[in-house]
Amino acid sequence: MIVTNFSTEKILTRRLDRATKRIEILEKMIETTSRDLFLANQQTIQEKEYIESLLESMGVSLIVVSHDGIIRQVNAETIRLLGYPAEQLLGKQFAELLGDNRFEELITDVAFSQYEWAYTAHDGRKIPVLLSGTPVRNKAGKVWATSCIAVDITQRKRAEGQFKVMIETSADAIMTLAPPDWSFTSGNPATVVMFRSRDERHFISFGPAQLSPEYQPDGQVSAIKSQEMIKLALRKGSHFFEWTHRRLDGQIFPATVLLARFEFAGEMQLLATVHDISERRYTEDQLMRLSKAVEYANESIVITDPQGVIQYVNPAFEKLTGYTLREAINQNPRILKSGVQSAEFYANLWQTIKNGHVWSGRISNRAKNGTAFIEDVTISPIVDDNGVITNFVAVKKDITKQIALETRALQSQKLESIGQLAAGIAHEINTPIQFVGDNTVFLQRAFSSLIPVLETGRQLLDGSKQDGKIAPKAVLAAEIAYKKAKIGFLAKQIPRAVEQSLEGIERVAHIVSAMKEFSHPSQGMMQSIDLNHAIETTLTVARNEWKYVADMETDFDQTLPAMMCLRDEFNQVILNIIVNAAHAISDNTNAGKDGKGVIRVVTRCDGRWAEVRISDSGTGIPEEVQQRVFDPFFTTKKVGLGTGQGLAIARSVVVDKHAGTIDIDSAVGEGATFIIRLPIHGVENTAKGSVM
Amino acid sequence: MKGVIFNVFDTFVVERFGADAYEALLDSCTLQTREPFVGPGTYPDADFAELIIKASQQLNLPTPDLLRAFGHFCLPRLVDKLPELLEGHTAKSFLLSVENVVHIEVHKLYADALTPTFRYLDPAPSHLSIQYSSPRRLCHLMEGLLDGVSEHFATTISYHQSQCMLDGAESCVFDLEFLAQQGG
Repeated sequence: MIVTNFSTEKILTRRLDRATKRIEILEKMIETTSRDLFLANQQTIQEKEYIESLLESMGVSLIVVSHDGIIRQVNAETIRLLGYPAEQLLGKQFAELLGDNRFEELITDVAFSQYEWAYTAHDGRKIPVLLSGTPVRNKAGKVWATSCIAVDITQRKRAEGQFKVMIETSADAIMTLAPPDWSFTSGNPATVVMFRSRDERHFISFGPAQLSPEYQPDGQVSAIKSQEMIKLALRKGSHFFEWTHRRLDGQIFPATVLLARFEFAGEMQLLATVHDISERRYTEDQLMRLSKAVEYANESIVITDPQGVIQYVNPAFEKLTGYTLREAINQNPRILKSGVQSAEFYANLWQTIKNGHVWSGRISNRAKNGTAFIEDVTISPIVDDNGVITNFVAVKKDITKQIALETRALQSQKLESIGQLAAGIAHEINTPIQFVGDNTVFLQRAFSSLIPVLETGRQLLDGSKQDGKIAPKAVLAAEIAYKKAKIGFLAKQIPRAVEQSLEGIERVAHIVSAMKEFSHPSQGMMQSIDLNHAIETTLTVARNEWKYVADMETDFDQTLPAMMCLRDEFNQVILNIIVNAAHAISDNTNAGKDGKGVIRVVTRCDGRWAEVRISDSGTGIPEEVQQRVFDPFFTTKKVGLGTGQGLAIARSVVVDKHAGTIDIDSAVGEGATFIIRLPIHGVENTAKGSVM
Repeated sequence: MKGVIFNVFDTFVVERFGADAYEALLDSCTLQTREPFVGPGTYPDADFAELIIKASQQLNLPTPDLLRAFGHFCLPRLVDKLPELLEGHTAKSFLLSVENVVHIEVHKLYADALTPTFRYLDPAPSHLSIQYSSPRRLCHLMEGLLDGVSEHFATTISYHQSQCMLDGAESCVFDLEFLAQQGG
């Protein structure tokens, strides 16, 4: 089969041109023959037959109409075209075929050619024809009739109609340009819309220069470049290029333009098809931006297929893990596995994303060089239009430094707490130390006053051993010493003083031990602790903070099992809340001058959860403040008193590090209760999946 | 060659291979005739030969096959122009009338038409031998025309060419056998 580049329009044009030329040739033939025949008056039978055969073989309709409007002669093609029997056509008024009386315009002494007209067929159909007429003269040279040749242009009309619909309904702007200055001569409805003109007439009143900005994006002057494009299209037949246009309201937009050369009425013209690519350009720009965003993102981005095989990693991933894109592709993300998370953890992760859900959590991973890092990871499934998962995309934020900073912040707050507590603790230690000291002084004196008694007693003993005689002088001295020493008083007070001193020493030892326990860092490691004991320790350390304003009530659930906890961080949470409670009560009791309030600490085992409730009889927290108390740097305390870090850290420790919850139950004037719930069996079985 | 044949060939190519094939064919030819062919006109045989050869190349169809197909296509379109020539005929009687009736009518229509010469040998009712001679040596077109006759009269015609001008003979000889009418 031949592959050609002919458009339907081009083929139709070429065929129509040939048909027109054929008509001209046939017209000449008929004219020559008619003249020869009529002028010579030699219409022999053979010549008649020749004329008739000529008419028959033409393939176009021929009707000879005398100047009274009567049809005098028709050929077979006319009969075929109109569907009339010949006898009905001959003698008929030509006006009936034309559907009006305008035939008078046609039937004159002058030839005419290629009028578009319509014949009315026998069945009433209108048949569009291209009508040409030649005057027929009699032997005297007088025109008595016109021979009308009609070419059926139904097909052409249909094609034209289709083209018209195509052009009118096209979303692309289609316009024609004509020489010499290549101004617009027509534009379809899309042109009017695209360039925001009022109508076609309004549109063609503008020149191409007015529909472009002064310069094209490559810096060329639009007016000069457009002339080059036109020249190229005229030389090559057609030319396709990108162009920046300007709408009549001034808006600039990118477009593709196809300029195609065509011939019309013997003149070269151009057909321009303009396709607005703003949307496409916008999408391309969006994609480019998105692609750049992924390239330059601080977060690692990993795209895998549904089986988890890596298809793409961004530069942030390469930088963090040390694996290049080339190395990572076709690998499984388990190349980063650190061994910190359990198999169950990964199974839960896969189950979540394979079910089409988003998984978020914290994962401890290992880089190519073995360096450990911690990431906050969100893995989302990407689904196609049918809901089938085509990819997974993981966005991962390296939080190793952030965690280090958090740990440092926690430690610094802890040190700050210890600093603040130090004065109170000093006081706590000072009291027993003081009475231990007093008692020691008493014991020192008591011992001094007992020495003469012991001395006189030894002299009596020595005398009795020498001669069995006791000197009355020695007895007197012993009596005096004994009386002076107040033995009865000492016998009573010394054991008490010793007992008190031991007690004091024990208290100091207790505080020091609590202090040691409180401040000893757990190095971020979970350890099994007795929650009740931990709370008691903290209450001891903080005793000086609350003892002047509140009585402490504790109600510990002794069935609470040992649980995995970051001990020092948990202690800090309890301390922060107790100190806040004491401050709230202090505000409510005029610093204890109006009587003491109560702080109550209760622990309970609630299924899988350990619950700690710390209630105070303080001022209570207004609802609007409750929503913000866990925000970092939020405080209602006076300038210089609060850092706004305490409850923020409490929340971070409970929620982020222990996968627990912390809530407030409070109303103004009715005190406040902080409710902390921690998972008894540790953090890995919980949804959050936080791993330290 | 008469313009009517060129015009039927135009229709043949357009109908069978598409309007674009015909346009491409015209573009590839360097015909002596510059204007479009009209039925009553007479044009050089060389133009027809060139059209056939180029069409054969472009349509990737051997020239004999193309001529045969064209002949088959041509017959009904030619007889349509003078339907009375077929009235009352059988396939055989029509073929016997070609030389003395049809060709004379063609000459009436086109005085300068150059028709081939047919000579007949009629050995039996169901047989006929036609001796065809023409400077154009279009025996393959002749075969196609025979196929067209067969179809028009719904009569199976089995033919065998026993002699061919293309093999250097003076004329082509077609031995025909008329079989039972098709379709009962």
